[in-house]
Amino acid sequence: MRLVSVMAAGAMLVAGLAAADEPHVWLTRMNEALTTRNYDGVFFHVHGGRMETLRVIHRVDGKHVTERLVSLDGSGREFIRRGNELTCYLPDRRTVLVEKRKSDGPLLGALPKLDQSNASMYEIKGGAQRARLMGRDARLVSVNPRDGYRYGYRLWIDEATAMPLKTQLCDERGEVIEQIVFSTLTMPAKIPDSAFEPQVDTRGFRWLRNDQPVVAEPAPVLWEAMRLPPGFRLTTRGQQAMPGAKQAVSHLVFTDGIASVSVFVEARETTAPPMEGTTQLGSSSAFSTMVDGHQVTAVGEVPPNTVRFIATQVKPRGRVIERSADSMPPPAGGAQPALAPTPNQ
Amino acid sequence: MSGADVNSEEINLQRDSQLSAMYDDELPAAECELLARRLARDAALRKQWGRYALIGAALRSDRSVRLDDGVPRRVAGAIAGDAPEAAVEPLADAAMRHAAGSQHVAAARGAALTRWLRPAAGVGIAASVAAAAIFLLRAEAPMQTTEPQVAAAAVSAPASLVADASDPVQIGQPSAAAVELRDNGEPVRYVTPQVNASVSSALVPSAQLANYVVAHSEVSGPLSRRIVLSGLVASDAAVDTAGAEDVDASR
Repeated sequence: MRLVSVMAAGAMLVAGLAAADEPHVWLTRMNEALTTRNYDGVFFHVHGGRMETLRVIHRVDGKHVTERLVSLDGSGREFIRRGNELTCYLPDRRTVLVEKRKSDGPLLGALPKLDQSNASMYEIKGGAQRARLMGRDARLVSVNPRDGYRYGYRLWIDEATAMPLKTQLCDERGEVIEQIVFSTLTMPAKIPDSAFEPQVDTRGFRWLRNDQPVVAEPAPVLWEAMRLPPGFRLTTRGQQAMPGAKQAVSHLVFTDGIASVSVFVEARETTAPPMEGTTQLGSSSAFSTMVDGHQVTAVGEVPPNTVRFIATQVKPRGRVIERSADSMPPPAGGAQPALAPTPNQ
Repeated sequence: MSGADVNSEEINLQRDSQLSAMYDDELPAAECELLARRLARDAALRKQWGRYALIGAALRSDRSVRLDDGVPRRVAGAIAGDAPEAAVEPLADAAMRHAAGSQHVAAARGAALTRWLRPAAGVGIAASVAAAAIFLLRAEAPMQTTEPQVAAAAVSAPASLVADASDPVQIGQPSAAAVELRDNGEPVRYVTPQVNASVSSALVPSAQLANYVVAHSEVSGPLSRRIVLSGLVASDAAVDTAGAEDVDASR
């Protein structure tokens, strides 16, 4: 009997050790570390033949998160998050953007996390493979996309802290598109408030805020995507204020469990030429087009073809009869959008 | 060796030590910023760091780094897998003898590289090498929406100088009279050059687009958010606020 107990305990121990090596365990730990730990690091952001040095400072005090992301050697841009408010200092454009969201807003809740619970369009491997990075032991985890509608990740996750010491964003062929490599990283118990003060002198800057009162469309249109790339689904939609916009903007969020795409639909009221076409902001892709007198823009950390596909499939379904205060829930049990062909079709 | 050569070597050695100290987190912040700018515009300096990175990458057998230099190839051939740290110094010395002609310079550079490669608490050899490796990796990164020559120009000359940030963004080098310099020769103000419209994508990024990206980051996962915002912070694509001006003025 004792032997059986010992064997059972041994089997549980082995199973436990094996589970600890599972990639999803490391991804979960990484997500937790990124959102719940204090850290202060300098990293290199490499994209499209360019390299820029950035510093990130992240502090969690109870439920209050403060974060500062600053360019050390390029544009001098700084992003500072204090709770639900994100302030973007753009000294190269003498502009400050302030994005404030409601803590109970409709767009929160279903944030995609990098795990394999709902990511059937990815192959997630690794966890047991060790590597040395920054003089530390790390676990290498690969998240490989199954098609060209999404990017993959290669992550070097610190064994001790679960922080991603190195992140590679890859296309479906495994080619590296973007890298984030920490050169220094500390995890202090306390970070003073002074660490989150912007170094930008904003005298004379233009401030654009999204907490100004906005005018609701008299009869807002319900927008939906007629077709979607495989694996993507609508998770939420809402109306939100945007910095500088006089009218509320429709915001639809699509995700495949890991990647997400936002679609913004804004009524055109200006004589300025509309945005049309594709652009890149880092590894984020954006595609804008005009539909029914509205500017439709899809943005996401996905390949350009994906945002183009989604943006061109967004159509007005009809007028909303009753409008809630701030949000419209996604259609419950409604018809699912048709799937897209493969990217090459 | 002439006096000028010696001076040049001394300057190079000083820069070696500076970069090593930067990655060891021992360089004052002001010097870090200065060195980062110098690296961004000095191709020769980046090439030298790249050589170090190759050596380190060979030590680590990092497959993502292309080994196209004789020294790291030999090093890579001699080592399989991660090298024990005790093996670092002899390999570094061998590399330096190859790279430098004189015993004096080789010894001095060996000291600098030993400092570069030496293990330290938390941040040691791999930290330095991993950080330096990106100088090579960026050359292998696929171009997205800009043509190679434009991207290369952005690497070698990342900052256009303007006398006043309120001036229109200038592409290329402005006249010398327009550049206001600090005592150390660095410009008081600098901006990332605007991507030439002829090679940019069809859509000119605007403040409105920046708004969208920021709003999108709020619904992204923790890692994706970091990537999205880092891309926006570091983006070379100009955020054209002309549209924002219109909106702001209308209030």
